[in-house]
Amino acid sequence: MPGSKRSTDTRLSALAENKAKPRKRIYIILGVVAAIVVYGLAVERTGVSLDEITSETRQASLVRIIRSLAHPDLVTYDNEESKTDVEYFVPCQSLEIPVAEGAMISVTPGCAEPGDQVTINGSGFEPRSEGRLEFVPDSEFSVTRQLGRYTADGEGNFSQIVEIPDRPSDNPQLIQAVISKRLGTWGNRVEVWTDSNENGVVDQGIIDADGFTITVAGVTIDIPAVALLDATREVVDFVTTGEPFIAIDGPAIGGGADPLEEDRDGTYVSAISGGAGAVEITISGEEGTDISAWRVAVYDGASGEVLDTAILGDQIELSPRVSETTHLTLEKIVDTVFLALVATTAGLMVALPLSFVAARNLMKDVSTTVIGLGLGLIAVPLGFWLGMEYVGLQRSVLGEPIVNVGILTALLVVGGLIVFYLGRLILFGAENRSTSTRFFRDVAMIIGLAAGLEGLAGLMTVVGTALREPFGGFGFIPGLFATLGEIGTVILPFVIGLLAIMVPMGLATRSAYWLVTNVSSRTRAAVGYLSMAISGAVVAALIGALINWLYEIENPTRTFWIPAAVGAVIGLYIANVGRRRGEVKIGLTIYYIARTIFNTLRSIEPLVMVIVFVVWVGFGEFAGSIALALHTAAALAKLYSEQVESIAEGPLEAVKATGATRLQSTMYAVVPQIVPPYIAFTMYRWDINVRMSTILGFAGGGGIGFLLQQNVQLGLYRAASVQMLAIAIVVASMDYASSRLRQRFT
Amino acid sequence: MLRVEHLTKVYDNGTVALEDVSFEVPDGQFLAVIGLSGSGKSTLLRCINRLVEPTDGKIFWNDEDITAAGQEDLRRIRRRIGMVFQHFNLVSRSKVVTNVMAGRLGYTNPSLALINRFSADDLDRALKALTRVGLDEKADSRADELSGGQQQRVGIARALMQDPDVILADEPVASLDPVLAHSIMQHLESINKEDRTTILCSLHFLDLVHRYSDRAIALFEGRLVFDGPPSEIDDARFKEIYGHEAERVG
Repeated sequence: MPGSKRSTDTRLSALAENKAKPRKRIYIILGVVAAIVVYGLAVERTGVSLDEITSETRQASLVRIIRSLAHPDLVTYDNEESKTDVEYFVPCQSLEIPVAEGAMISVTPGCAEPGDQVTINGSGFEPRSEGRLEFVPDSEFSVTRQLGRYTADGEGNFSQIVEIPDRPSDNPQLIQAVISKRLGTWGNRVEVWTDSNENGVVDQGIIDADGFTITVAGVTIDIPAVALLDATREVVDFVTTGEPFIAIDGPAIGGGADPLEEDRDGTYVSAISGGAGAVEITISGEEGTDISAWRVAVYDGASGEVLDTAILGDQIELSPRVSETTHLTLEKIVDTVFLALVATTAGLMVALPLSFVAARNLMKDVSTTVIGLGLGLIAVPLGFWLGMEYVGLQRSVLGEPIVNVGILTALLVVGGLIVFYLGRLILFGAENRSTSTRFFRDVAMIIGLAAGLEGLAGLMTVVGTALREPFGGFGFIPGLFATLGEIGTVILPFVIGLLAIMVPMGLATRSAYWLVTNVSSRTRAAVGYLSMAISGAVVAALIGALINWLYEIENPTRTFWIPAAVGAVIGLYIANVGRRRGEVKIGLTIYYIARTIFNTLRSIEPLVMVIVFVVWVGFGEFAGSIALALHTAAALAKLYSEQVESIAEGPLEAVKATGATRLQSTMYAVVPQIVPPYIAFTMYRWDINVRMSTILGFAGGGGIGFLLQQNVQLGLYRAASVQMLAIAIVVASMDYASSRLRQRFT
Repeated sequence: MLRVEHLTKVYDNGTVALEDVSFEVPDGQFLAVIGLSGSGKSTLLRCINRLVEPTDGKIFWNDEDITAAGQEDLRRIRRRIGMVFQHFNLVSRSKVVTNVMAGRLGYTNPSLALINRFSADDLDRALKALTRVGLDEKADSRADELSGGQQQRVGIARALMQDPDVILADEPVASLDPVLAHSIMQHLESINKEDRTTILCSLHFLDLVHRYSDRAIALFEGRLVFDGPPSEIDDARFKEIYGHEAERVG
């Protein structure tokens, strides 16, 4: 009966509800309690405190910082100052009210005790003018104490309450109003002479027969060190009177100071003498060199900290002018964009080939036989090792480093010809050749490549370096080739090692195929087990060697024999499993390994990686770009491979069905589908990298972040504001450009 | 001659797609494969060129065991077996002529793919194949600019590039309207008649089966339930093939 069935259902659900209700309530209450506990702890641990927010001093400094940030130090105006003063007695001696002349200020009461509040009244000032109020104590040094600021009203009057500092004296002291006026306008710029050492004379920084000597006053150090900077703030020379050290801050940050040495080439620091309160520095070089715009930075040779910097000559400059900070910021923001470009390009080149390996749909049906795997695993390290050894041999025969242009050209020509003819043979020749023909062809190809690439890289280095000077301001172009050549020379053994893998690999594949088709299954099984045991042992022994290198165990039993034995057993086990299944799913294994590596690398922020690379290559953009490149490679490889995974499978299936090889079907069915997303992701990544490189400087990775961090730490918020502005503009425009370009490609 | 012996395919998830299927196809025959969706037609065709690995059984092509072929041999066998797909499976961003030339990959040196080149001979062949399906003017268009019927003709041209002994057509007209369906079937028919190419074609509409095929085989839940001339498919047979609730429409 349908009716009775329904009523049973209702009863059952009602029962269930009744049962569930109290339990549900308990869960809700428990949930709320847990949430309160969690948030309570979170607020406590993050130090949320209203006392701090409302505290007056905190607010005052916040206002100061925000106002500084709102006034970026983009333009420098020189100021003309005029003073209006009045004599004043602290403590009180008579009750006569002091009066100043002209534009006048008066102080009530006429005298005060230290710490008293007094009122300064001004009249006859320029309407709405601003200035500062200062107290000039009776002292042999010219020092002033800032009392406050004033703003005159519409009639030129002001009234300001200030506190008298604790500087009692029997003589009258001065209270002054300093009116500061900006010199010049953009339409009408004014020349201003800056007397940097305040000796009242126009000094020119010109090296004469005795060199050029400058005294930096106000510093007392036991081990003075000096960095010499040219007009573009490049460190030209960095010497110390003590042991060599690395600068930890200042303009020469990351640079190493060497012991002072006289009689060198170029412009250099030839003498440093430290006395009480001053350091005397002599700079030598070609007579007549104008180094007025150069600077010296005085370092403490013991701590590596910068103490003071000084400009060598007096400057005549225009007011207003684009500020020093703006110049520096522009230079650094360009560096930052280039840093991001280099990192993106390097990461791209690594990620491109790897993305195919990390795509599940391409790798899932890559499988091999037990014998194929066994022989292949032996072939990989063997080929790599032989390739590396061959480059070593080539270099030891020809001498290292090879700088002889004749030898390099010969290498390039001979290697190039071998590669050209063999390449034509491989591309256009008959496909199926005997195993031995293939073997010799491959070996010859590797030899040709090793010679040709060695010649090419060497020539690029030698010629690029030689052309650096004659190219003058465009020296960076041959410089690029020289650098690429140097990189090529360094990575050549590695590249040839990787390429050389194909020689034993070809042999392994062919012998595996021959064994599978021509040998009885018993022999085949024996060879399979044996090769897997050996390759397992080899792989494990290599891992053992790595562990030994890391932990310096130096115990062959533990780092070689035991791993080798365990590896052999694992190899036998895999052989056994593979034999039962008929195939080994090598593709998925490679896929998982690649994915794990990418995910691990990606989870480490470049800011953290930079710390490691700074140790390796020193402070600066280079460390930053390596860290960023590594992160980019991992991130792009993942993004790319996900694109490969999301291609339409139909065309791939169709191309496969025509008898295409894996390489062919990838080139003709996969690549056309992934070009647009690859371009889009690369753009997106460059955009991200620009953003990231702006903060890499915080960890020593160069770029604009370095400037920003320095200025924030020194409390120069107006300078920091310029850098923030630059970052905002560059990031926003990159963001816009990349999104526009991405739209075009998707 | 194509010989299928006791072919069985069980997918990893346990689905039995084919169960002990055996039949022979003499050279030059137009064989229709019919059956409900999911009856194993596509799996059967894909086992023949091993896009799907058979679980058990053997397939012989002129007495060569396809199921036992190694990588190199499989490439050699596949290049003589053309395939036409329901969804055309063209690389949509590539040019029509590139799609057609891809049919020649089984014959070209694999290293050439590295520099993305085909020989002039292949280009010539591709233009001829396109002329044959009436699309020589569209050679430089992008594949996705073509209509469905045109795309399927490109698919046929691609198969022609392989100089095929057999063409496997997996529901070649299922995503086209009836008028276009006849045009595509006529192309296949002409290839069958002029080049003596064996054609295995899975079809849904019985009138197409009657009109074009020499012989039909029918699959029901992975088993071979009919093998004979299309004219023998009467109402009783029909119910066997398509189940007892099916109605005849065409």
